[in-house]
Amino acid sequence: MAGRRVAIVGAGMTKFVRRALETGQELAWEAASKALESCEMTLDQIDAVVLGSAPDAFDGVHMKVEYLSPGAGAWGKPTIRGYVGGGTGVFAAIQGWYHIASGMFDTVLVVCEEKMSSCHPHPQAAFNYIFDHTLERPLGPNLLWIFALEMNAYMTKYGLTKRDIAMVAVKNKRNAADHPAAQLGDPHITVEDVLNSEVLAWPVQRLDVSPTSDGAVAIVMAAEHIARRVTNKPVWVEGVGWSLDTQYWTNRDLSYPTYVEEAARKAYAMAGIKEPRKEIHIVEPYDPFDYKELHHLEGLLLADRGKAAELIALGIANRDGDMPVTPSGGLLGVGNPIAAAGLMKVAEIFWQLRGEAGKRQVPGQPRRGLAQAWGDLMQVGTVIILGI
Amino acid sequence: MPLIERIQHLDEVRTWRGTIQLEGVYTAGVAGERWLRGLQEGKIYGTRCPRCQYTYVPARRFCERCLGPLGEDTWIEVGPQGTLVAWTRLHVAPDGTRLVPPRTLGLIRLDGADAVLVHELIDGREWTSGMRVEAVFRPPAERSGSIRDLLGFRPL
Repeated sequence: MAGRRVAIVGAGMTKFVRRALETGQELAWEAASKALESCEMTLDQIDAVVLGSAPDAFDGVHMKVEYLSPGAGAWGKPTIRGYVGGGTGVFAAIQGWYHIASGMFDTVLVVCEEKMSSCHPHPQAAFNYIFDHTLERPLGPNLLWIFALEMNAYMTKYGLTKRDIAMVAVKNKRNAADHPAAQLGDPHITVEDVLNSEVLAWPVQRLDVSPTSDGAVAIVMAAEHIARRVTNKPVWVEGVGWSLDTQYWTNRDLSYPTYVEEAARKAYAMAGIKEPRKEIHIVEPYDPFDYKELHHLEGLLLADRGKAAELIALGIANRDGDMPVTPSGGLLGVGNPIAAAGLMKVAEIFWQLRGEAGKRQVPGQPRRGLAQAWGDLMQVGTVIILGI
Repeated sequence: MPLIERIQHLDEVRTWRGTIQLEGVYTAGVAGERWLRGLQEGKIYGTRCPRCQYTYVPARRFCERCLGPLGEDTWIEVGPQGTLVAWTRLHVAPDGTRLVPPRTLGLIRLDGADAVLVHELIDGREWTSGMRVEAVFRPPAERSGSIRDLLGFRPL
């Protein structure tokens, strides 16, 4: 383990909603102040701030992290923006970790926010501008059809059916029904509902994909000597890893997320994990699309290639299964305010390991969990492993 | 194209034109909405953090200095008179054209406020920092709940 030991000692979040009256600043403030309250700390006890948010275009404010900073407690403090697109939420926690592990700071407030409802008529329009301006943009690409191609490649390579994949959406939206902050929890949803939902870009249908959302999440991180004073239940950062694949998405193996495997191997090595399938008790893989949860479980080496769907079908991934996957409800169920959604996964592992997840609590006193996110131009994997 | 060849005009190389077209639909927020309704009624509100002894204008929902909430009991009316802290006269628009007549903008610390407000300076020729000014509102029927419900500030 590199550097000093670092723990998460507090967490807070707003509700995830389709359109918040609150400004981005107000959302960031709600999450930040709840996180501080959760561990009975005050802003003057925070040394530095890490602020994560995805493209400026969503909130419609250039340099939006500077705009958000008052709500995140950044006034008069060393502050850094974490930004690797959709991978930001987990990456911001990793930045919080190395701020402290390095010895530079003892306490860090990590805040992630997204207000996607500002982007009109739909945030997908903003994604047109992440592609090559001359060779791709004239074709009008957006993420839905890129991922439809990827989902089809994955299904074809391993002979998976739409039904195999739809079970992920069902599991996560049902899990989210127990999350008080969830946007799309549904305890009664069925595979038929997913298969009968509106086709967006075949094979992606409406219920295969996460919604656009407004929301914010914050965590408080502390060096060991502070963490032990703040709480008797510190949740330690045991491993972190991140890795970037090529920007040319057409040059990637679309049926396997190599960037996730590279990030996971770094995190496992740091945590001293030799057999991840036995040593990781809960997983929060990034699930903006149902097939991506399967994709990422394979990249995390928690399932054989093409076999992750079996974990869902056999109930192993259920909350009461042998390896609960996305007990929070994930992006598909809780919602997807991009950077905040990734940090929500980190917060979920924190609450689960402390036994504070309420109706979502995984049985059996889990001792180690993993959260993962994915982003940039669909090329970055970010992984954090937490334990008690 | 080698760097030593000077390109005199953009069209000498083959180029593509593209625009980034994005539209925003914004909310004023919990505090912002109430603040704008206040302007519509001809009132300028601030919120005062009892802990930090600092009054924000426009009113905020939280104190950025301590992250404490600024609830109902912290809303106070400020102004409409105040002191001009600094001013500037704008002669060139962002597209390079001359502004005729020029615009004048000022930073105003309203009576009772700590934060300063930026707005237009109107109905005056000579401006000096430290001079007293007062808010000028649009007629009630023309107000829409916007920062432009304030026409600006004039000398007192």
